[in-house]
Parts: sequence; structure tokens; C-alpha cells
Amino acid sequence: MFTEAKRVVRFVFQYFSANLQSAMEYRGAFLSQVVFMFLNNLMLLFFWWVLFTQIESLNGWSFEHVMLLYAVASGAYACQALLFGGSFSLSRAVAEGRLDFYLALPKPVLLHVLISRSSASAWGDLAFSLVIFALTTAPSPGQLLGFLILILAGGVVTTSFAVLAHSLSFWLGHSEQLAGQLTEALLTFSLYPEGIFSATTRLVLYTAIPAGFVSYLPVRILKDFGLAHVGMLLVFALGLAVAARLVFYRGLRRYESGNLVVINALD
Amino acid sequence: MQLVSGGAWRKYFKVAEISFTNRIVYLADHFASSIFLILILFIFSQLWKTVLGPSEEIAGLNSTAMLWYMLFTEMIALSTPRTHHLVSEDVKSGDLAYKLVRPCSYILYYFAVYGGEFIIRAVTNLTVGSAFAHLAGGPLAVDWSKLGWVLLGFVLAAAVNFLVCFCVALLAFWLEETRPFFWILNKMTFIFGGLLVPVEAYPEGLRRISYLLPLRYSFSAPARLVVNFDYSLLRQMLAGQLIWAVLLASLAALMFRKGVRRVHVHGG
Repeated sequence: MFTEAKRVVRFVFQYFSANLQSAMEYRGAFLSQVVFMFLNNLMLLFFWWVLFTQIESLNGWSFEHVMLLYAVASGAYACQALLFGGSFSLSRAVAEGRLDFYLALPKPVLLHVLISRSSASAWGDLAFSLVIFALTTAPSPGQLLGFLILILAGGVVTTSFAVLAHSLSFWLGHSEQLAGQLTEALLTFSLYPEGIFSATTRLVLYTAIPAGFVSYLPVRILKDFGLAHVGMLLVFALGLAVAARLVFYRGLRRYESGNLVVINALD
Repeated sequence: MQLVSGGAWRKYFKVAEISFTNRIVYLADHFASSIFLILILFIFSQLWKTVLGPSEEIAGLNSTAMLWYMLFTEMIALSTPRTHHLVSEDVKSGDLAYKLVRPCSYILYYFAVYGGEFIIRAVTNLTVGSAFAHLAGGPLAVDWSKLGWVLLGFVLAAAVNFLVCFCVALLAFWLEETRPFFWILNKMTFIFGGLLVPVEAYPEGLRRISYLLPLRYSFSAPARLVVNFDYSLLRQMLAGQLIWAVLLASLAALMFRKGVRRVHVHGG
């Protein structure tokens, strides 16, 4: 089992490395995407800066909390986009019968589809996440490691949610737009403080659209460390990943090959 | 660039009409894509209720007016067709060669396509968004006698927005890939366009900068005019829109003239 796990990790690393090398081939374009994405994210904080010039706090959330929220949410998104970039176009692959390539190879199908793509601009998200975290907390190496674990857990939640949303294509056919809106909703809710939402909305945000586990709970852990919260986050991330895997493979039984002769290259 | 005269306008109206008809076919899709608008309005209805409560104001607007303000800024932003991305595609794919030999202006052709699609998107977004804003924040008191001025403001806002996007899109003649510039433009719209909060709420320095840039005249000013009509704002907005429309149209024409000389088309 240990050897199998090692093989899977090496497989993921090799794909990650190949995707990075492919992005670095056009170094100027790669760097400009990273820099522009960093600036793009930075400008998102502007609205909150203006708002906090008018108010003291937002139901217990300060500007520093909001900065941490952005660090965590963009870090989670970066983990998804860098490691599991295939999750963004899964429904299209299903609907167009493009999974044949992965089915024919002796590797786990879902994992293979997820790691086959990586977004170069997400390096800008990761850089933004780390810089904002460093500015907000001046972290020790241990805190930095803890932060990386939190954003990785958030990335697992966003990826699993995307797999669930995109797996609807097995039953509904072309449902890219619906899947896109569901994943967009998760990201959008992750970027607004929990304090503005009513109790009912919060219940939804900790269940059906799990933005609470992507950003609210990690922020709470960073501000007020508690093992119970860390355990809750990790168990939820693992549980959602297992659920996503189950639903994907259940749907895969309904998959019909498109008999397409296609080149499996980046769109 | 070919000049337009007399009856030549008719063909651009025809292009706009075709673009409008093409989008009518996807009416259900447009309504479905309004879900994002509802999501954003829902979040901000909660935010403004928390921040402002029943009686407080930011930049002279209470929580209900803030929600309606945002509906109108988002309506313009979300109704803007991605026509400008086609310029980059034209340059990269070589399709530009086919567009240039047509008996019409490249810029006006895309403006007509943009106009036709903008109308249908704006109507669907406004229908869905105003229904939600009414339910979530309450009704907006509208002075219907000022409707003509408001509509004129929105038409000019859409035109200025097209020209801003098109000038950035024309950079494709030099750089091919223009997406990163659109990311930045998008975020500058957030800030200087006052997409989420009126620019009047900004600190003095930033407010002055936003008054000087075209983005405020495409988003914040017309939206504010609907929720809080004021003749001095109307005069200021129309002057800003007309000045920027002339400046940006001249810049677009100049960029196109310079840029098109750099294009090399191989084969076909």
C-alpha cells in the first residue's frame, strides 16, 4: 500500500512538473500572467479598504480578518488550479466523450483527469496568498507550514466540490454552465466575511456550498487556533473528496465514448 | 479605416439587428447567466443591511439605494459582450484579413455587434436583477419623467465602455495576447468605475482620479443618476461621457490605423 501511495505521489509530481515546464516555455507570457494575477487580486482588497475607512468592524470582522480571508481563499483556489486544473473542464470532457484517453491508461481515471491541467496564472494567486499572509501575521516557519496545510485542505474542498458539480454531466449531458455557476458561487461566497450572513445562509455555507470550509474556518483557526476546528476541516475535506470520488465513478458507469479522434492537448 | 457617410449607417444598424436576433435565440441562456447577478446582489443585500442597518448612509445612499445602485452598475458590467476578445482572435487566427476587405469599418462593425448583444443582455439582467432587488431591498422610487435622460446616460455609458475595451483590445496588434490587460481593466473598473460602491465614498485623492477617468462615466455616474437623480450630476456625466467618447474614438481610430500596418497575413 505504501509503495502504491509513493507511486501515486510520483505520478502527481511528474504531471505537475511537466505542466510547469510547459508554462515556463513561454517565460514572458508566464511571468506577465503571474504578475497581472497578483495585481488583479490586490485590487480586490480595495473595496474592503474603502469600506473599513467608513466602519470600525463588520460583526466582529476587521480589515485584517478580511485580508486573511483573501489569503486563504486565493491560496485554496491556487492549490486547485495548480494541482487539479482539470477540475475546471471536467464536464466538457464528459459531455464530449473526451475521457477515452484516460480510460485507456493504467492510472486512476479521476486523479489523472484532475492533474492533467494546470493554470499558469494561479502562481500569481499563490504568491498573493503567501504575501498577504506574511504581511498580516509575520509568520514563523511553523505557522507558514500550518497555513500551507490549511490552503491545501481548502483546495481539496474546492476541487471535490468542482468534481461533484461537473459530474452532473454524466446525468444531464452538457451542464458546463451549471457547473461553472456552482463553482463560481463557492469562490464568490469564500471571498465575503461570514459575519454579514444570516444564520440560515451560514448553514448553507457550511453544507451545500461549503465556503465555510474553504475560508471562514481556516481564518478562525489562524486567529484562534483550536485542534477541534483543524480536525473538523480535515475530516470535512477528506469526506467531501471521498464523496466526489464515489459520485464520479458512479457517473462514469453512464459514460459513453464520443469515438472522437482528438489530440489530448490544452484547449 | 473606411469613413462612414449618409446611408452607410444603415448597414451598421443591420449588423446590430443581426447580432440582436442571434442573441434572442439564446434568451434562456441569458436568463440562466443572470444567476451570477442574483448571487452578487444577495451577498451585497446582506452586506449593506449589516453595515448600514435601517437608517445609516454611505455617500448619501441607504441600504436599499445601495442595492439598486449595484444592480445598475452590475447590469452594465455583466451585459458588456466579450466582443473585444474577438480582436485578439482575429489577429491570432488571421481572420482579420477577411474582415478588412469587407466594405465597412472594422471598429463600427464591432460596435454594431456589441450594441445588438448589449441590449438583449441588459434587458434580461435588468428584469431578473430588479425583481430580486425589489424582493430583497424594497422598491426604488423612480421619477419616470426623467427616464429619457437616464436612458441617454446609459446609451453613452455603453458606448464609452465599448471604446475603453476596444482600445485595450487593439493592443493585440502589438502584443497578440491581451487577457492580462483585461484583468487589470476589470479591476480598475471595480475601483475607478465604482462598481460596488459609489466613488463619492472614496477618500478625496482617489475620488478626484476617478472623476478624471472614463470608467466612472460608464458605471458609477449613470447608476447613481437612477437611484438619486440630480441635474448637476446629469450635466457633469453627459459632459464627461461626450468628451471621453470623442477622445477614445479618436484613439481607437489612430491605434487601428497604426496597428493594421503591422499585420502580416500568410496564406488563407
